[in-house]
Amino acid sequence: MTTRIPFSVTPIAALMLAVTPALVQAQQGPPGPPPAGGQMQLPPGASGGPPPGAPTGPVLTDAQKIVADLPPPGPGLIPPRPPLPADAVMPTADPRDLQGTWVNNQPLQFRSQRDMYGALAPYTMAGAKVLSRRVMSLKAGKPFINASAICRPPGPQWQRDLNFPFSIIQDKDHVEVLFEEYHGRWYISLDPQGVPLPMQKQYMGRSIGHWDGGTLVVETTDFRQAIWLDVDGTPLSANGKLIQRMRKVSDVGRVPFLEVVTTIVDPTYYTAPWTIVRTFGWAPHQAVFAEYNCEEQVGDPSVSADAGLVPEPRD
Amino acid sequence: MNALKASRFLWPVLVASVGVVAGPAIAHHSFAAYDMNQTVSAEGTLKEFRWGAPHSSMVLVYLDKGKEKQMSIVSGSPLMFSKQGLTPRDFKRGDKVKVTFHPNISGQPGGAMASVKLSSGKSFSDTEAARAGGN
Amino acid sequence: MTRRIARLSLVGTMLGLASMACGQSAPPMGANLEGVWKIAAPTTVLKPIAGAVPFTAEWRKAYEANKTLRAQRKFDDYDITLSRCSNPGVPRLALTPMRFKIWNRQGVVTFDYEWNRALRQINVGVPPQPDLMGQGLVPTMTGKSKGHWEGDTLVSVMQGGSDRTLIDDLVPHGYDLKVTERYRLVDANTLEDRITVEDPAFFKQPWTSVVTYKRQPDAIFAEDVCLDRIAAKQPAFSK
Repeated sequence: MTTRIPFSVTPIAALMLAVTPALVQAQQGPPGPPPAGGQMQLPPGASGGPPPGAPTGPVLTDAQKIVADLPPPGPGLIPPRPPLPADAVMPTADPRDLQGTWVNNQPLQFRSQRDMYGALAPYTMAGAKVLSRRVMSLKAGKPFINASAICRPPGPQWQRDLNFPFSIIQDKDHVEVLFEEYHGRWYISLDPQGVPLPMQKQYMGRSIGHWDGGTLVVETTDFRQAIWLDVDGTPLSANGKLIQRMRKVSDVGRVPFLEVVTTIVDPTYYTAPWTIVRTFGWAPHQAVFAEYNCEEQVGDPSVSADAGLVPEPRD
Repeated sequence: MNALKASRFLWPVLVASVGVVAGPAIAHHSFAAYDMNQTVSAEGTLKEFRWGAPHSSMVLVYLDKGKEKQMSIVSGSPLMFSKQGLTPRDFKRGDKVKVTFHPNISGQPGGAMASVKLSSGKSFSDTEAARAGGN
Repeated sequence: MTRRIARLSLVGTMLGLASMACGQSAPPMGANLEGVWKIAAPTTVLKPIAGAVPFTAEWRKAYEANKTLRAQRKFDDYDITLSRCSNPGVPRLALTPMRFKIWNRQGVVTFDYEWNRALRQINVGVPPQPDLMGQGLVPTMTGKSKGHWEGDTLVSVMQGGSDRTLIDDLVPHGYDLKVTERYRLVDANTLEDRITVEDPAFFKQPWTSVVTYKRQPDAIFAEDVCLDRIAAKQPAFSK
């Protein structure tokens, strides 16, 4: 079984974006005497890099250049997690039983700039502009309103991308995920005929799932409004789709972890679907959630409904 | 400027920004949200105290040139206050309080609490001892 | 066919997990509170089984003051659930007019409310955790509920509540509120919650109320966002 190792985007991005093409070295003239100290001797005319004029590294589209020029995202943190006690409840052996309490086991990614294979996200110009505007609003100290800031459901991707636990509960024909943060819910129907999903559009979208072997594949569509996929504002339009592949991954002898591979499909903001991955550790000791009551603050009638933030311009 | 003091109040903001704290995810402001070089004082009525860990916030109703306004002042969890003998029930809504705080860099009224004095006489202050004790 | 077998094995696994999790926190067979429930007789008032709410003299005044504020429609001055969609807390959540689900999984009995996606949990088997940030000292709307089974009855004791909630739509309380609940199935489709309220500053003696629920068909709740209602100047409780 493959064990994917999620990587932290930021340092790799910094490295890649810092590379300049000026590594070409032309060797001219006849070779000199053999160098001392075991240095590599190149044949005449050979260079230490690609031929002159050849592009080095990936070629960025104009949209990707806009995103590459943005100030980098902040460093994701992960709080220390206590080790599981010896008598902790363990996940079941059934691969189709994802039940339990899980929490992110990698540092958060504030801006998912690369897919899980290391390629830059394939923004359209519209996508690059929206993301750029959001990031710059943060830097200017005048951040845009988003669902999270006004105590509304932030969509399934942001909801999972936190350092707070969630619990998966499986019933006959549907799966319910309860989140500590925002007292969130994510409901997945496994049988839309038998257990219908609500008709009206919801902030969390409409999720239909099916089992593919030991992987729960969930398609989420029909968002009530555009959502932010991360705190920097990687965009998804209301017509976008998320395909989440969720499975328990076991590494013999250790506690299984939950892997969620999310494919982002949104022709408005991306020229092609692209895929990111997150992993979550088993956290039975966090099954009792802290109360989350953002309504007390956000609902205060004596303060403005936009929590002092700036409305995002509409294109 | 006392770096410890700065880090003490930047931490809740930083922590809030990365979604570590169980409080409203207030739009992930820039980290340096408070002017730690300044301490401003205000008097007013305690409208409410929203307790949380690692940070809480209070809403103070005050007079600004004769007009009644509200400001929000962030502080630590009940753990921090308990070290100076204060519990949530000491903070009564409607109480007249005196607060000092490091103002928001944005210019919006309010900021990060440095001290508070209640009408009961009880008070809390971000003293050297409190900082050294940690939170 | 494979799907049904998978489902049966899943149910078996779940039952196995529930009883394995912690011996005393697992209910005996036949006392399964899980399901979708709805209050049988909708009300906004928690009525004592006998007599009136036994207010102390001091706090009867606070109760009367709330009545006045209600008449004046100054809701935010006494009821932030109505004005802001703040969590109604315990025991007021027991009066929710919409449906709720009860889950008994992983050592926690979770009340999963249709209204505003509110959540309330009773700890029946999760060990206490290190509390470095002082989370345990934070008064919350739902407080902390510790539960155990007595025969077929789930007994929960809640403390650590905030004084920002009401017992129902008017009755105030303080930080010393203690709410004991006894949940049991009266029959397969009827759930009873016997609620005892104590707060020595506010009430001369503990008082008890009973709320009954009827089982509902399985369903996926629609996403309810109370803040959208009040933003549109509609009531926090739509039904």
